[in-house]
Amino acid sequence: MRVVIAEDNVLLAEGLNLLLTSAGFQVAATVADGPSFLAAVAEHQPDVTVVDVRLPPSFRDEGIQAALAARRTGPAVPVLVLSQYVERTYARELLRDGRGGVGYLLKDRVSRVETFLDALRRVADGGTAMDPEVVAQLLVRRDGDAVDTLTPRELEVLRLMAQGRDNAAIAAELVVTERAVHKHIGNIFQKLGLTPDESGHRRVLAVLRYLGGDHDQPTPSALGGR
Amino acid sequence: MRERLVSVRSAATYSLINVVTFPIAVAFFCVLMVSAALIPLGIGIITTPMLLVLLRNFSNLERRRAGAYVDRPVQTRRLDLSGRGFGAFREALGDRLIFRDFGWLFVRFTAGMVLGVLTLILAAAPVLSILLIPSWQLLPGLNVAGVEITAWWMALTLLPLQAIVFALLAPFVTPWLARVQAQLSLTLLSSATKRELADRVETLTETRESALVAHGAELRRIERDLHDGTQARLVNIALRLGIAERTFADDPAAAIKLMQQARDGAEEAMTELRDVVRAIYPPILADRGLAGALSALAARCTVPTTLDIGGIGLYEDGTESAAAAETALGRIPAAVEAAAYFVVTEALTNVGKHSGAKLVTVWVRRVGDDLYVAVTDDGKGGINEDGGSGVAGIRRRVAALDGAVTVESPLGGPSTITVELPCGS
Repeated sequence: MRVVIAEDNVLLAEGLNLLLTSAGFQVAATVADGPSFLAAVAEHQPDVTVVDVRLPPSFRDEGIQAALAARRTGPAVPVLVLSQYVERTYARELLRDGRGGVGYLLKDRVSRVETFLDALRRVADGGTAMDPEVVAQLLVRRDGDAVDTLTPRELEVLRLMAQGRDNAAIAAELVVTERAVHKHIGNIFQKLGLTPDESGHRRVLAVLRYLGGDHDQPTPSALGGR
Repeated sequence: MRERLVSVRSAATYSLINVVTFPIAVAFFCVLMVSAALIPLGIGIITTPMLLVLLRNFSNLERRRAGAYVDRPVQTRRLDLSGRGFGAFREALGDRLIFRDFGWLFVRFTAGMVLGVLTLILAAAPVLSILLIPSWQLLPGLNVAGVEITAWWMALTLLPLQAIVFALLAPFVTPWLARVQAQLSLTLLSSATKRELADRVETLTETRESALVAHGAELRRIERDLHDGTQARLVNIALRLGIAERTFADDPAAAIKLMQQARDGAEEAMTELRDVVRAIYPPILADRGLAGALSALAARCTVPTTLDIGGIGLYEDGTESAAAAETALGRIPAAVEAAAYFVVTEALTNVGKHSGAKLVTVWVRRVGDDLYVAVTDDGKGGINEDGGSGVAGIRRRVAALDGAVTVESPLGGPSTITVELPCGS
């Protein structure tokens, strides 16, 4: 699998390079700013990209902007965004186009190599990988929200689902059967007024959209079957 | 001798201009009064600002001239009106110096005129006395110090005597009189009285002291957090890795356990570091500016939150409107931005915890050099400032920046916390 890395910190860029190479990925290019990232994506057509939020020259949110730009033009290149801190605003911006293949993780998570690689593969496959902290922020409850009606177990399932895990992973994590997970998800969708859908990231997007605060009806493209 | 003559001449020139421009000053004053009288008719609203700009040019001339005379550089202040119509009118009347200009104009043709004429007469007296000698007969009642001149011998002795006395006095008295005029002008035209300045210095000294104390405490807290927390954790990690390295050959399982512990420690250290960084300057502020950071805050609040920043309503993730709001707020120093963010964070936390509100509004405006932040909720009110609410923290943080906090929270609500933060240097 071919990867393009956008990371201006030389130490971290080297570390990522080493980590990905040793895990069997092929690092096509390592760049240090937004424009070279866009150029590298156009040139190498990578299977997945890893992007730092803060890049030169402004050291604001150049990485997010570059990632969004890369996805706007042409096919949605899968992007895993790494950040020193999490901000639900960024997560929502990444998820907004509803095309999947996005992830947003704290840089700390890189140290859990297997979890990190798993998230990266999920993103490459068009799924999502949201940091548990982002999900926690997204799950902030507001008075009168339908989320209030969920049972603790259902909330647990929703949390894992929002991170981008599939049913098997959720079942393993909660030590229950897949059938039980399936039932919980059905209840959640019903309580939140969403049409159930089995295809991986789409349901997560729908859930995130609903939880993220803008209470628009989820768009049909995010809910309907393929 | 030469110097004396020069000083008399410059005093006379200074006074002469004051006297010659007397009709202009009177005429200008009258026109201004007419213009003011026409304000209710609407015409005055247009003409007065234009006249006041002229007046400012006039008074600036005097500032320069009087300043040069007493050899003291004086700052001139331009009156630039950017508005039109009523806007210009309000702007002109809002100028701090405009009433001083007006007062000066009045004094200019009253006391100033008298002083000017007196100075001129004194400067000219020696010459005048001599010139009077041949024509004494044409001026009945002409006298020198009360002695009437009735004969040629008197004219030939008393008048030269008078000329000598005046000639001796003039070099001392005329410059003094001219200086009195110049000082009078400068006092009337200068921008702030010493009293005002002294008061200002006093409050600044106090707020600066509390700012330094707060800053010092903050530095010590950061040092403690880094030293006792992060640094200690890093040492612990290095230690575990060192032991793992030694035991790896003999007991790989134990070594791996140590390495896992080291990784856990590293994660904790990173979490701590993030908290320290956030307390110094919230990263979202650096990334998104104040408007963007506040909209992120609002999105995270447990109570639905409306944002009005610089007159622009923001919704969650409204990146483009955030940019417009940022422009509306203008340049804000980082310390003020951080304080404003802190105030809203604390206020929203309070609202979420205690108020029972259904809706919060965060309102931010830039008025001149000040940034205003107001957080209003429709909760049950009665904020208790002693009960360890965030208000004490808000007050401390705002005081350090020479700002002001107002809390309105009647029992039964609604509650509003308003903060004023100066952005000027």
